[in-house]
Amino acid sequence: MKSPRLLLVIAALQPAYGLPVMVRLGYGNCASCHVSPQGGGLLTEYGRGIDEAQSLRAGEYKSGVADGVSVLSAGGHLDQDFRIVVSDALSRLSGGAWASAFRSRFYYRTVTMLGRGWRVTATAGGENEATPRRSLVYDPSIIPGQAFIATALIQYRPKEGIELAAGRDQLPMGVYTGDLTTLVKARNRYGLYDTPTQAKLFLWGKRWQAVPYAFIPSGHEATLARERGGGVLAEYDLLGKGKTIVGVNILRGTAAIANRIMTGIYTRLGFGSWGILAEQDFTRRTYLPDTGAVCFSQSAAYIQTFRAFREWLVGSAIFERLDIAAPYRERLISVRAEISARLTPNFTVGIRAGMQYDRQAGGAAPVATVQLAWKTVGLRPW
Amino acid sequence: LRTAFVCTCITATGVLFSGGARAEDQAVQITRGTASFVATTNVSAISVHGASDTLTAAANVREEGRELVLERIDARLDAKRLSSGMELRDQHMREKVFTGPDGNVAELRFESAKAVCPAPAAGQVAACDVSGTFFLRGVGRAFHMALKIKPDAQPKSYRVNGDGTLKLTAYGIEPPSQLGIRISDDVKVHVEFVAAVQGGERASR
Repeated sequence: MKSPRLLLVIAALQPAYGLPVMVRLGYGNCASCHVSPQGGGLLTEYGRGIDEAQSLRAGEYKSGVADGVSVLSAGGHLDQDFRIVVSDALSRLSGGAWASAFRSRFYYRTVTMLGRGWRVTATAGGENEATPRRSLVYDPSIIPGQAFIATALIQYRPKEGIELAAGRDQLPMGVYTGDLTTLVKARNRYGLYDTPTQAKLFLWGKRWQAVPYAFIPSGHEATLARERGGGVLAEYDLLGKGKTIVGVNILRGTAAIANRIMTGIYTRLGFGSWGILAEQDFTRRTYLPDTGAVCFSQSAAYIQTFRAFREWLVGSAIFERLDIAAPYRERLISVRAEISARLTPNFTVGIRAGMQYDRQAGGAAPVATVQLAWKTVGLRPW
Repeated sequence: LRTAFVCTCITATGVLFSGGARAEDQAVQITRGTASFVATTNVSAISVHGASDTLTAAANVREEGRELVLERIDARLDAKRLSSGMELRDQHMREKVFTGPDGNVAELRFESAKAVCPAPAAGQVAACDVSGTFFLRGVGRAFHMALKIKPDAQPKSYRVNGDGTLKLTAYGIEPPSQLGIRISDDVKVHVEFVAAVQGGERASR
């Protein structure tokens, strides 16, 4: 292990979203269960029913808000929840010493239905310690305060299958596991705090989805790293059962410090009780220091094989690989195993253990994490 | 419902296989076929899939010229064994679709008195329709399935696929609705099985 900061990236908290592992049951895209077609954020009523059914409790979801707090739903126009994720990570630091780190993060998420297909979505977060992605000379990370706005969007859905969204959010991505600390995300500006101002158009049908988007800086980036650009994400269900999704994500961004062109291919495959999530991104960067342009390439791969031992108990084996060409050469491999138990729609427990190996400098960094996530369902705490 | 359709298809397939072997009547048994269904919903991104590998079927078959004549086709599937991958949803499916007014879950069954299909030549796919009666909740309604029969890699073996569509309302079943998601009335059924004839006797797998 070369740097404790590297371990922080590995051990960072997952937001504990509903996961694309649901592709195993034929849920080919996020719009099935999430209010936002991009995924993450609040669940629809149907999504909450699935969330309940997929827990150890496996009960019937009962629509509506808790007694005594219905006034907070503004007559059904306002939906909201709270989420808290705490974790304790054990990792080995430089010099061979072991250290543990306790982290906690909370989210308040809300959707306000304005009528006629319009809605406003916002997610505010706070944490005891920020966990920014690794900052690089050609790609500085955002250093947030202890509170941050993860999402602030106005969205318009004139009909099923069409949605326009504008505001601040994470950019569309292919395999959206909720873990933005993975190499394929963190090294392509998909970190937790990378929420540029953007406009995106979601178009989807039974077997396909297309998302053209454009973005400008959020204003929280380092001045030279304020990037603007655009891209398009497109995916297709090969066999038409929501279990064989293949897609491509192409993005071009320009900033004073560097330009980049990213081409990503990905797949989400479901086979009943198990499945595969995989993404391969190729990024061509042009670093623009005062001394002259430096062009180099980056390749990042992510492969997750998962199995649902029970509907509420999912285990995964994850392999990652990152290769960055000279002069900023990096060669990393990460392997880990995870198991996640959804005890109720409110409580999820996760355990992960793995190791990241630096093939360029040598050395391995083991890490183990225990995570507990709690959320309200609507405003129901239990 | 979909399962029952699948059973029917499987039965038909078994008959076809048998017919390719000999001119006289032969009994064909399919002991382990796969039946699956797909139901779309009012939301394009959501559809319900389910399957069972417990399809059984029996039929008599004889060869007449270049045709296979299938008689007394009887395919069955235990409705309780159909799984959508989600236990709660399976429970809803049993309660809202398969449970009759008497509170019992009747077997899904397909019967056909007679069907005629072309005998598939090596390397080719033979197609035919099989018509009969499909029973859901013990209620029988006319049903037909399009079969495709292809010689398998194993000698005297055939791979059979069948597809059909049933309407829930034809059986007096209101398409289930849950949390704003309503299942469509039409349910697509698909069956698959392999039937093999070895020596003078037909076998199935």
